[in-house]
Order: sequence, then structure tokens, then C-alpha cells
Amino acid sequence: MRERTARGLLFGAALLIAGCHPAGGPPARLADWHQLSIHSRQLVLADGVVPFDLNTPLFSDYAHKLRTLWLPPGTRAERDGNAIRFPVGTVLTKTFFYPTDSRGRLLKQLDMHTTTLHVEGKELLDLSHVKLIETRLLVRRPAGWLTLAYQWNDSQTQAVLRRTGALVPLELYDALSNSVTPDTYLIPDQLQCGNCHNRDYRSGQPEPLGPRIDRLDRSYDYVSGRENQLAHLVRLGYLTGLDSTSHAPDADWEYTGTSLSDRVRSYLDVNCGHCHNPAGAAANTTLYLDAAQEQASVHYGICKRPIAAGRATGGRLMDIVPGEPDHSILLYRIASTEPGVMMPEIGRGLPHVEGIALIRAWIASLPGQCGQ
Amino acid sequence: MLTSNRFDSVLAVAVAIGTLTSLLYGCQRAPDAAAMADRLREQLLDVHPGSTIEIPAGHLHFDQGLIVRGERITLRGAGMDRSILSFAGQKVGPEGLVVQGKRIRLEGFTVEDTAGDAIKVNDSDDLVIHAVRARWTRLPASSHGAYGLYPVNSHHVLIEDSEAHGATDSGIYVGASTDIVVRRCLASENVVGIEIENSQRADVYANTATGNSAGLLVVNLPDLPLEGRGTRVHDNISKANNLANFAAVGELVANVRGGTGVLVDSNKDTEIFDNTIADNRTANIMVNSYWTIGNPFHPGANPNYDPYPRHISIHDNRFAGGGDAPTGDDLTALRARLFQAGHFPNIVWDGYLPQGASLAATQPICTGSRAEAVLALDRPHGYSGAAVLTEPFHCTLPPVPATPADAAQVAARTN
Repeated sequence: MRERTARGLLFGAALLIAGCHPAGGPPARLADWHQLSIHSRQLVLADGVVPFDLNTPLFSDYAHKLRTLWLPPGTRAERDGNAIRFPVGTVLTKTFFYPTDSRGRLLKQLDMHTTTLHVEGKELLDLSHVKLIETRLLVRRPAGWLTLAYQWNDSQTQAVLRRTGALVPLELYDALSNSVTPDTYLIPDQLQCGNCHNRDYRSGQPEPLGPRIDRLDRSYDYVSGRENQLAHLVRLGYLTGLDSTSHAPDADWEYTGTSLSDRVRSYLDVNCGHCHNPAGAAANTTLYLDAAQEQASVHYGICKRPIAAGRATGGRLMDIVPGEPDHSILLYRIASTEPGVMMPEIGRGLPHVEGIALIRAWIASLPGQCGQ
Repeated sequence: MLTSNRFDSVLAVAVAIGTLTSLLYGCQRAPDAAAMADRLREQLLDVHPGSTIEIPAGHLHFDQGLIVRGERITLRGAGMDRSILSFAGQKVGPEGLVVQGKRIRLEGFTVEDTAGDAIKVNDSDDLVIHAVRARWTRLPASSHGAYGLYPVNSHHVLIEDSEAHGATDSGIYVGASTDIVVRRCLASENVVGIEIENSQRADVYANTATGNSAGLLVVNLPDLPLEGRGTRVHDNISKANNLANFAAVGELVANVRGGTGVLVDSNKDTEIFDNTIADNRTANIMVNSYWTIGNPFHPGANPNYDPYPRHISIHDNRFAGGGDAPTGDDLTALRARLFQAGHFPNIVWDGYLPQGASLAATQPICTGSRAEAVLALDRPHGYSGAAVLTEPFHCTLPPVPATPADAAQVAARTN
């Protein structure tokens, strides 16, 4: 705890400067945040930095994501319904990486749930088995959340700030088919971060999307042992307000023991709901795919004609035609990688084949018909 | 303290580098286009309320769409023929420029060859688009983006002296917005030249729409929050909009017949007057119900939606030519049956009425003090009762008020 305090003071100073001295700007190196550091070819989480995973994550070109949370000493996050209110000074990090094989090839793996290794009481990633691409930060300042992206260098020794983002050419190796898929991976610039994180579009303010009560409600293998993530955060004193009030965990989209409609609800919520919600950037389309929506509704896309799709209709008449995945615009757009057609609009250079299969199966299972 | 010192030195170094950079740029004759494009992207990251970003003259190319987010921002080029922002082959889109914020002014530049929409303004109050062009320069046209100039969910919108060419939907499109003026613009080679969709209090005047599939469209669609009503379309030229419709199937405007001068679909309280409407070979003016597009009452749809046009006041327009070669086998056959080698009257109405309601009670169209022939298509009965009628439409509606947010007010409030 003492260590956490000392580091907290440093963070406090850094935050004040980042928040109040725009000319100074945020730290140029990820290491300056003291959340993640490189030691002997390992990415090590600092003390007090807690890893977490989500039941259903946003798809980002098969990248794996190591997510962490750090709170200033003496502060705690508060549950607010399904949301979590974080105190000023909170740092959330998300490191995008790929597992690698012995030849250093980036691997396309279907299971993207992240686990950390445990060595001498530390949580870490072993860089002999993974390649780091970028680490994104959300930092809670008094005025709101600051979004930052740091790109890892090729030798994996440090990550530097990329305010204007970057396009990173990658090749993913699929061991199952023994094939290589080229990809152009997007590191977003600061404004592009808002494309997803300004979930309440009118506010113009970014907010965290992943750490939500229902999405965190799953187990994680911590250095201290396996534990439910919410229980872990409560035990650490990081989270309050989690009394006996019941809540339903977000479905894991891959877990076939859950109903198809619940898996689809989670998948569309996390991949589409940040824009396609009644307060989101896509509100004008009145296609709402956030978890709060009634799935049988026209606003969930059922028999809904597009408003502003342009050529992205793919020659199809309605967003979702029950029983007819190949006549549904939604499926066409999530399968496309062409700018102007694909959904989500940015941050995806590859189709999520398994996610597409999920949506296809669900649409095929829907009863009813649209009429003309 | 250590951290603070570090930042101070970073700042000092940054200032030194900045000074050096500007000195170096000063020595060069002109920074190259790539450097100018990079610099523009960086400037957009640093906007703050009151910022004016100058776009230099030149042909700047971008791999990724640009975003403007903030209040009281001006984006000013050296003129739409001089400052060209090209997004040809863009890797990250979909739009060229996305804008969000109050009191935004865009002027004096061209955005071209975007993957999706050229300029989308989503959620703005007090928006001025002055002398801005959106266009696609490459073929085939079906690969173009949907909209050229595209304000949506916005209030107090002025678009003037601007252009749009080649959009697969509408060149200039204002949707889900209120208090709108579109004036002195030029739209050509789009599926629809200028469209007002589910918006209220729009004034569209002194524009020219030519060479589109349809010149001007005022439409009220189902399942949207705002009902389309209260639009004035006057003193425009809508001429020879006879381009074959190249919208993708499934788009609303794919239902628009090439050869339409002005189309009103399901809108309310719309006044069309003092326009010059000529040589649109399906019809100079067409007034339709949403039923011509589809069934608005599918399961789960808003049952309160009114699919019928009501109180469309059409008077004092100057017509010439048109209606002589309608798009579609159905209308081609109808023309031969009713008019032989002649042409449709200037106003064509699809003939849908609410169940049990009379024409007089619904008042889809009134032609004012001057009696005007209207071709009632009787589309609900497969055109069997199609006829030219005059008297049922010989009625006068109160004028639609001019939009209260007139152009000058909007401009004055902007920066």
C-alpha cells in the first residue's frame, strides 16, 4: 500500500499537468504512467494495477486485449446500476497484442479471452509468446476522460504516444488453415477514440465501455487465485455499492450453454451499441442494438428499412429479415471490410468470421416475415 | 516536483522544436501536400472553442477520414477550386469529414472521392456551410458514397453557395433537423440533387438541380423521431433531371424514378412555388404516399405514422417540357394509353388516400388560385382509374411560414 501511495502522488502530479497544461501535453512514453513496464522480456503490471477481462469483448482484428484498472490510493469506484463511476485519477489501460509462435508469427486464435502469467507474485505477459501492438489509456481527469494511444516499438522495449494514430500493416497466421491473412491495423487518433467511446454522442465526452457490472461478472485467474472479478475488486477495496442487489451477467458470446438470443444481445451490444443506441452517434438511423433494446422490435432492425446506408445496403431491403440472413443488411455490413460499407465503421480490417456465424445462425432462427 | 520539471523541459524542447520547424518551413518555398495534410490532421486534434483552421490551397490527400469535434470551430479553405481534400482510396472511413458541435462554419473547400459520405455533420446547432463542394470524380458512380453535404440531427442549418456532384443518394441532404436554409446551391449527377428528410421548417430556394435522377425531394419516412413538415421550395431551377437511377437496391431513393423534377413523399405542409421546373421526363412534380415505397405498418412499426402527403401547396411555378418519357414500364404504358404521343401534366399524384377518407378532406395537393391539371395515377388499383383532374385540387392553402432562423441570423451567431 505504501508503494501505491508514493506512486499515486506521482500520478497526481502527472494528472494535474496533463489536465491543466495542454501545451505540456500527456506523457510521451507509456512507461511514464507507471502502470505497465518491461522487465526481462516481460510486460509486468505494477502493484495495485488489476487485470480484468470481459464476458464479451469488442472484436478488433483478432487482437487479444490485456485490460487493467488502477485507482488513486484511498479512492474507490462506485457501482451505479450497471455502470461503474470511477474516481478522478483512475487509469484504465488496454494493451492490444497477438500470441506468437516459435517463428515469431502473429497467430489468429479464436479464443481471445486474456490470461496473465504469474511469476514471483506479479501479473505479466511473456513477450517470448506475444507481440504487443499498442496500449490505450483512459484517464479520469476532473473535466472528464482523456483518451491516449501508445504504440509499441518493434523490439518491444517501449511504447510511445501516437496522438495522430497509425496504420500498422500486420500478417496473421492461421495454424488451422496454414494460411496468412494480411491486415491493416488501426491505432486510433485521439478523435477516433471518440467514435466508440463517446457513447453518449451529444455529450462529446468519452467514457469507458468495457468495465460495466454485467461485463465484469466472470472469473479471472489472479496471482492470488481464481476469483469472480467483481468480488475481487470489492475485496481489494476498489469497488463499492455491490450489495445483494441482483444483476444478470452479460453473456459470453462464445458460450453455447447460453441462449442464442442472449449471446447475440451481448455481441451486438459491445460491437454496435456504442453508436447504435438512442443517445449514440447513429441515433439518426433509429437502429438501436444496445442491450436495453427489445430484440423483436423494428428498432433492433427487424424488418427495418435503412435510413442512410447508401450503397452499403448491398442490394438488400431491410436490416434484418427473419429467417433470411442473406437478405439482411446487418449481416452484409458486419461481414464487409470496405470503408463506407463495413460496420463498425472503424477499427476493423478483418471480418470476425465466428461472430458473423453467430449472427447468421440467429437471423436464420428468427420466426415471422416482413411482408413486402 | 521531479515530474513537473520534466514537463517543463519537455515544454521548452517542444517550443524550441516548434520554432525551428517554423523557421525551416519559412525557408522552404512551400510545404509539400503530404506535410500539409499531416498538419491539418494535427490541427484538428488541437481545436478549442473559437479555433479557426485554415486549409491551404492545394490537393491534399488523406488515407483516413477527418473529424472535427468542438464548439465555435471554423474550417476555412482558400476556395472550393483551390483547397481540395481528396480521400481517393481511403483506408479508414467511412466519411471524408465528420463534424460535431455547436456553431460550426465550413467554407471554401472541396471534399472528393470519399468511400462513404463526403461531409457529415451529426448533431450541430448553428451550422453554416458556405461555398463548399462535395464530389466524386471516379466511375463507376455506383461506388460513390451516399451523401455529399449531410447535416443530420442539427438545428439552425444554413447551406449556401455550395455544390454536390455524384452522390449515390442525395447530393445535399438535411435530415432529422429543424430551421434549415438551403440556397444558391448547385446539385448535379446525384441520384437526388437536394433532399429534406423528416425535418421541419426548411426553406430551399434559389438552387439549381440538374442532371440528377430527381432534382429535389421532400420526404417524411416512418419510424423516425421527427415528422417531416413545414418546408418551402421556391425560386429554384429543377431542370432535366433524367439520369438513370444508380442507387443501390434497398436505399430509399432507389424507389425514385429517374426523370423527376420535384418529389414530395408523405410530407406535410409543403409549399412549392415560383420555381422553374422543366424537361424532367417522368414528371416535373410528383406527389406520393409512402405506400409507393412499401408498407409502413409492418410488425413493430410506429402505428401513428401518417404515410399520406397532406397540404402540398403547388402554385405559380413556371413549367416547360417534361412528362414525355416516364421511367418504368407501368408509366410508359399509362402515357401511351392516356396521352398517346403526348406528355403527362406537370403534376402527378399517386392516388393513395387514407381508408374511407375523401380527397377533399385529405387535401394532398392544392394548386392555389390557378386551376392546374393533376394526373391522379390511381396506383392503388393498378392505374385502372388514372385520370387528369383539375377541380378537386383547385383549392388554396395558407402559405407555409418562412423559416424563422433566416440565413443572416444563423450566420451572425456563428463565430
